[in-house]
Amino acid sequence: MLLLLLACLLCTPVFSAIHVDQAGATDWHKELVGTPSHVFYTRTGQRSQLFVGTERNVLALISPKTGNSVWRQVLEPSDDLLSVRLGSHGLVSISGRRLIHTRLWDAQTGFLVWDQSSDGNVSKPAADLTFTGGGDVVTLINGETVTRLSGEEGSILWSSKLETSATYRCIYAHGRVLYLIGTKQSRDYPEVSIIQMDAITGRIIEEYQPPNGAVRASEDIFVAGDVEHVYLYWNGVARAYRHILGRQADVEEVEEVFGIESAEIVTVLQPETMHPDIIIRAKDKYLIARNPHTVVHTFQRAHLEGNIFATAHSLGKTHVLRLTRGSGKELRAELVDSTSAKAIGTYSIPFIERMSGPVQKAFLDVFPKKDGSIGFRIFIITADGSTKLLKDGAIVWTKEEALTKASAAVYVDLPEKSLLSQVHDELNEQPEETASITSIERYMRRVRSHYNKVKALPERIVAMSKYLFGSSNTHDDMDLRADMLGVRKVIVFASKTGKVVAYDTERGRTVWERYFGGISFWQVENIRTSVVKYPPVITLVGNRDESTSLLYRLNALTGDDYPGDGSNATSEFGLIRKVMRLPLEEPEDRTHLLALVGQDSQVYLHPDSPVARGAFETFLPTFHLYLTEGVGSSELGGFKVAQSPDGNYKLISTWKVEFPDDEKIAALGEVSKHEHVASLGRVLGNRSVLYKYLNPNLLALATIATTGTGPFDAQFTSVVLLYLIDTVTGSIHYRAEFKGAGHVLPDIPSIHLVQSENWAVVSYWNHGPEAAPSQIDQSTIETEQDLKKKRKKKRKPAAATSFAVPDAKGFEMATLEFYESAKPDSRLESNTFSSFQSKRPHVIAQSYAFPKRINAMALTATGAGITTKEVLLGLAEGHLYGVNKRLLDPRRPVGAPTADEKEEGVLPYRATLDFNPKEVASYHLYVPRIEHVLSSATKLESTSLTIAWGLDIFCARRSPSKAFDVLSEGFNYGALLTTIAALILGIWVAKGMAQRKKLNDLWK
Amino acid sequence: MAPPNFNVTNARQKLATLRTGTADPVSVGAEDLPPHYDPAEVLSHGSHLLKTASFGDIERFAVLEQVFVAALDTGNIDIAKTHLATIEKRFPFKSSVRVQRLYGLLKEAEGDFDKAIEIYQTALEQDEINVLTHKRLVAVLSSQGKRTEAIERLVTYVDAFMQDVEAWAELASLYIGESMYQQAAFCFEELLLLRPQNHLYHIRYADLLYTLGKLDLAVKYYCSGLELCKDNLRALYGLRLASSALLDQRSKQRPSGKGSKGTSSVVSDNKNQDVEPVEEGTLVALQKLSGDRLSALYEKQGKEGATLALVAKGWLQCQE
Repeated sequence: MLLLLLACLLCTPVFSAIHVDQAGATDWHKELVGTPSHVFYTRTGQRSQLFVGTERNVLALISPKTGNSVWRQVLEPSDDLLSVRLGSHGLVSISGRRLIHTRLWDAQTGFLVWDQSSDGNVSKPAADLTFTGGGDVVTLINGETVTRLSGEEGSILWSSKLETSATYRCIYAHGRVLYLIGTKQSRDYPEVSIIQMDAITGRIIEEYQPPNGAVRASEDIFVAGDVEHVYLYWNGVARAYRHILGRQADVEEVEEVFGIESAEIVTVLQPETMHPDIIIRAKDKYLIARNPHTVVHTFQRAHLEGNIFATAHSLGKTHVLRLTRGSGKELRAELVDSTSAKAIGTYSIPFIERMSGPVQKAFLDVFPKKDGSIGFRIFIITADGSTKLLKDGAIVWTKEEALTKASAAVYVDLPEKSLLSQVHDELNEQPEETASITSIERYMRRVRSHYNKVKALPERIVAMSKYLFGSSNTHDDMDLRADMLGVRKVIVFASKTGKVVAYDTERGRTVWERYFGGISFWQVENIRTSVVKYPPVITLVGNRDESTSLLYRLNALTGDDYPGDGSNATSEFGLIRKVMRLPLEEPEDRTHLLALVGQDSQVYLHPDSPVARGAFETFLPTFHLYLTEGVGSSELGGFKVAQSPDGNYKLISTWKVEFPDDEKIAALGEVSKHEHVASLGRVLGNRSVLYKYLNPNLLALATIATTGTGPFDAQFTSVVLLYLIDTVTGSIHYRAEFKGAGHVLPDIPSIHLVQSENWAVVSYWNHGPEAAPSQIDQSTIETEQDLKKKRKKKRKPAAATSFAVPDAKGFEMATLEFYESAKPDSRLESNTFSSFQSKRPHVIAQSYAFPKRINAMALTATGAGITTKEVLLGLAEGHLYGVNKRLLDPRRPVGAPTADEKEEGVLPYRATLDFNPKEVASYHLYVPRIEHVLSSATKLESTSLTIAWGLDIFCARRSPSKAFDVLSEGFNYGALLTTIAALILGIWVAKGMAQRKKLNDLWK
Repeated sequence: MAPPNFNVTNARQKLATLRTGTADPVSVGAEDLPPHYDPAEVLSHGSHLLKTASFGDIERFAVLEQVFVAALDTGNIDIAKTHLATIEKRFPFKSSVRVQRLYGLLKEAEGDFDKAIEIYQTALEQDEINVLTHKRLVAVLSSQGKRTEAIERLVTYVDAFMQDVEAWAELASLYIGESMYQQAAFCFEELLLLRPQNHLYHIRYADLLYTLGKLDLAVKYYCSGLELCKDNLRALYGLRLASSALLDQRSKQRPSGKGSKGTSSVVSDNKNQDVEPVEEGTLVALQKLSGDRLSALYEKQGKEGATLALVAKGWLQCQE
């Protein structure tokens, strides 16, 4: 430690940004694309390619070897991917909501070739497309507009809007004829409806409904095109039917066609062939059939549930694969050559269903091996939404695409090397133990822990020297123990798809993963840290359906149920609105109690035990909470909890803030529970102190009020209001209006708010003065602009023009700081803080234009809060960016700074916050669509561990005040150690010489 | 084979104490200081230490020297010679005065005093301020009866080292041996300046004054001796004798001339003495006091001292 300090004095840690060789040394990036909804696994000769279009509106070409994307195109979150087809020119996609884009992407590079847009209908989002002669694209949008686009340049050749009552979902081209297949609502069931169309002119030839066309859902209709005819299969309400398109009355029963009993079409596998394989489920078996009458193969063993089929066309043959569930730990794959009707083999592949859920979809690639036999790869999508590639009976790679839907995450500190917990064990003696053990036994314990410490010493020295010489990152084995700097932690992600994954923060390796079928997680709480000898425990909160919430308790290091015997690991409740971690511990296993607020205004305890209830009841008088439906609602209520006569806990409303009808909550700032405030006040240049208004119950809240439909509407006005509300009393301490502020577009939420200590930062889009509402109640409200005006008045009375919204459309960030008093050195006269007696804070505010679009906003966290905070921004262009709080300081002087201000070190005010490429945490990496940013303190005060996720996952360390407690990378440890060694040697030599001299003098 | 009651730490400690002459106040109890020098013990313990213990060079040579001296003291000349050879190997005879002195000691022990004196003298030519060699030389000379040469050497020595109490005392006793009382008295005057708190020097000086006939001053110095050490027997006797002699002297002078009433202004026969004479009344009182104190001291001895008391009383009575 002393060495570190000494070295600190020597080194000059003035650096920002990072060097090329540091990229990836302390950070990691997981590139994801989302759960694929459209997959094209193609093979040309020796090369196979995997194109995906995903639920997260990403188009990508994935390398089947590594799972990484060769290219990917990330569309806007509002640009929903509706349909994707791979054609000869490239990948064609249809996407959008209000505006539908049809785009052609170059298959090999991912470059956009052309883009054709048309109006969309939000209520009917279905779209399909097909290719017709010469590579032209025919699109069916919203089930009603058919358009033929030139494959070369995307120009519209013809477009026709269908005047029909039926809804069309599917389009199929066969020679000169286009078939649209959809359903028409009749009395009980939808009925199959077909339109025949001329592909060249777009003229409708006819629309008809074949007989027996009633189906349960439109998913029961299958098209199986052949060389001569196009066959349409559907599972009718009672039986399955086949119809040749164009022959109006020609409907056959599938049972008769293939001569089987109780047939049900499972799927039609449609590789790039003119002979699609139709998978039919007969009474107790599955069959592969081909048009017009052939049954190619019957799968022998009857696994009726969980059958997944895939097909591949290569080597001039078509192969069909059936994946079935073996035991819980393997998959059984059966490969059939459907061209020559020959079973090739059955393989078993290890696969743990507990970790990812059953297989949902599979895609096959068959290739010849060097020895002439057939090899195959299977790309699977599992129930959690993640993808895997299987080859030769093993998993080649896994991509946790489920985490693109991660809704919550929590950091788990790893336990210290057993020593600390052992000492803790030793000290943590229970009274009964004290009575029973002898002093010798206790002494032996002491000796034992000393012995263990000594034993661990060489290891520690090695670790220390490894750290000093910068090779700590080379070891690959995962050690679930805390490291020296506290940067090794576990982060647990929980997704809306029921997937839970734990990564280590050092390298991003998977620690464990689990899948909870059908659960949509929305919160994770760390209910026991690992400081004590027990393992850390987390609680996952998720909803099963509209009326059931479940809580799972897991050991955060292994992912196993906690407690280990499985009892009480899962608890079921009615729908829960809010989960709060209480500052109370269960005495037995030392887990924190959770308070759950149900939809029924009841409060539940988890775990619920008489002891827990007792603790909770003593805690009740000081327990206040607030509830809101969150972003989009216009109500905020404060509650306390009381015990009703039947022993249940009920919410009692204490206050309620109702915003006017047009005002909706846009963002809530919640102070992190782990925050530490290092200083009570702010020291000014003249040595006086401005005391911070530190109210732990203060909630910053931003609402938005708009009129008109959107920014292009002449009536459009927009205001963002910022409130500071005491959540115990409900009193509004402060309210500010940002006129003309709002979302960029209704689709793109742009209001973000963070709150910490005594300040808040809000970001919004400024629509300019024309969007500012005209009637302004100036008498009561002091807005930020007013303040500015006042400030200007003081300095230049002539500049006191009427209030103005900056006439520059753009993103802005407003920063607000709350102080106990406007005057320095004056404090509230009370020893203890009480929300019931609190005065209003004095608020200082300033706003800045910011040149980039912000998708997410969060703060860094450090151990003691001494380090300056950094506002972390997820930028729309795919960066994680940090803005130092020093720049977002509302006390930045307008005009020339005074001597005092110079002394204090505040920067002069500038209206813009420049984009500084050095502050991009993700350097050159493209980290698109950051939605959440979570920081955690490390043992280094300067360093904050930060993870950003949304689509990708990116983990980096941030040091807003530079790495003041770390030696610079280039520090010459060698020179330091050599100097010390030389000094020791010198002393030793000089000592000998002095002794000699003394002896000679004595014996002169 | 270790000597009985041998303990490395204690042995080293004891040898070190003997070398430096001061006992470590912490480790040594009040009753066993100063340590007693037993050459036989030093020889056995030191020899064993040299064989077994590991020392730094400084301590090893110090112990070697110590053992060498102890060997000489016990008459083990051969052992002494081997040790001296060891020392000489490291510090050649020519360059080291200390080794030369050790040779001198060896010669003394062998009885070759002339050779020893020669060695010491050449050594002093090489290093004339070597205190130990100086003293050694004086000791050899005086033990050989060459008192005049010893006095000569010592006088040159105290010229350089006038703070050396031991040397002054030795010089005084050498002068007394030569009956050079005046010179001896000078030495005692130096001693009184250097060690004014030591009553023995006061008494010895008074004795010398008495011998020289400076009775007034002798009385005063006996008194100052008694002041520093109450009831010192020698001082009491001296005081008794000196005061009696002075009274006698006065009573003899009175009839011959100067018929004064014994005022203090009477100057005794010591012409050059500007000492204020002691008043007669005081002398009488001192004479009586010393007599009383003496008899009281003897009586205090009780039965054992009964004879002695009688003798003393008799002596006192015949004095009067």
